[in-house]
Amino acid sequence: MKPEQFQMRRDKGLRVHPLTRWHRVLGITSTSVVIVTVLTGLALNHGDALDLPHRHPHNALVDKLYRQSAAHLPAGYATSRGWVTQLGAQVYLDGQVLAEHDAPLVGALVVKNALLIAYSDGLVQYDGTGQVVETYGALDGLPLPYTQFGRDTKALVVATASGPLHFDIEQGAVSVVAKEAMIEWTRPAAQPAALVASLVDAYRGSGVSYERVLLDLHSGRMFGRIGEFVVDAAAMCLLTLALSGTYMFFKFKRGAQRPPR
Amino acid sequence: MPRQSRLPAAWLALVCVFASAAQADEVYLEPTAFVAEAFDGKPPAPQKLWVDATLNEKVKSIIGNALALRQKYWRAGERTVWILEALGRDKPISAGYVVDHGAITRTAILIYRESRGAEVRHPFFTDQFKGATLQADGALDRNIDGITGATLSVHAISGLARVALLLDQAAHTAAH
Repeated sequence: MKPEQFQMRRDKGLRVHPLTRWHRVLGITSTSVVIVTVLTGLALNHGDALDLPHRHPHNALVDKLYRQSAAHLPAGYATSRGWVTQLGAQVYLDGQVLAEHDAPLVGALVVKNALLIAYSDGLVQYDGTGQVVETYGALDGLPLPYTQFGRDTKALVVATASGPLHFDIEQGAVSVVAKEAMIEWTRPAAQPAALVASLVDAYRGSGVSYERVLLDLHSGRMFGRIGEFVVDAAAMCLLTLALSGTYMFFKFKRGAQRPPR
Repeated sequence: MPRQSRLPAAWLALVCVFASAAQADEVYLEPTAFVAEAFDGKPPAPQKLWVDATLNEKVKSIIGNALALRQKYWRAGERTVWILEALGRDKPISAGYVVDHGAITRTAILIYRESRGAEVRHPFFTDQFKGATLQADGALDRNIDGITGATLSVHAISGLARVALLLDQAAHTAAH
């Protein structure tokens, strides 16, 4: 199809192909994100030369952003061993790093001196040093995901995709819960202020480095999940611009004459 | 909508689907299905291997992290099945190994959580482990060809293969 056959519109005296309009819209929409991503990417590429990992920004906005994320600490689960909390992928026991686990924490209990932590993707038994003693999950007859963790007078109870199930940790036996009213679910609660302060310190470490800030800006993570998707979208816009630009270059190289102004 | 206008819209929709899919964990084969397949649909009851400190040190030197102290596995005769996890780049990869008479007979990537490197799931990679055994120095008896862009995943799966063979040896020793 010749370019002249496409639907033409007059826009400030110029004939505009629909693909050109899309090209412009995508360009304008993604420009700000692309500029930030390119600049942060350039800086990160020379991170060592710029000593980014060891320099810390003293900026009110950055400090506020990171303090805000720390202030939104999730509540913890109180056990006889201490408070179990999860921040990102880090799991803490009384403010000390216990383990790394990506899936969300859904409950914690101490049973016969064993610390049992339920995540949405499995149940994990830890010893006193944080070493994993055993993991339990779908292979043990407890279908994923888990949403709650507790016990009743009979045994441990896990709220699974198939409803609440009893789990005998010693026998590995699973059975259906007859009376749900008897279940005592572990519930998150507000932690003591001193513990929250130590968690904030552990979360922030010695302070946020320029490298961390630039990485979070580059990936969009600074603004959470939505930020990641915005950067994904901008990256794909850039790819689309490259493709549409190349297409238009070859398609309109000859023939498409702009009318005189 | 004109045909020319629909094209970029469709492209953007595809992009959004691609972007959201890239974030999710990919379950290529349910662990329960892998175990069942290894025993022709009739898996035996799971057994537990106590992973002592010496064995766990070896495992740690291979994959960088220790195993649970009680490791679940399935056994029928000389065949053992192991579901193991190792860190790829940022997230753990779950893989299944079938070991028969001290040699790997099947490797499968069960759950892949990383955003890149999922090519390790393909048979052209996993089939390289068929027949692999452990040498005296703890290395595999063969070279495993890597995949460009999936180096860490390749290391993780190769390391887990060595761990599966080590655990198989330990399970047979414990049984005797």
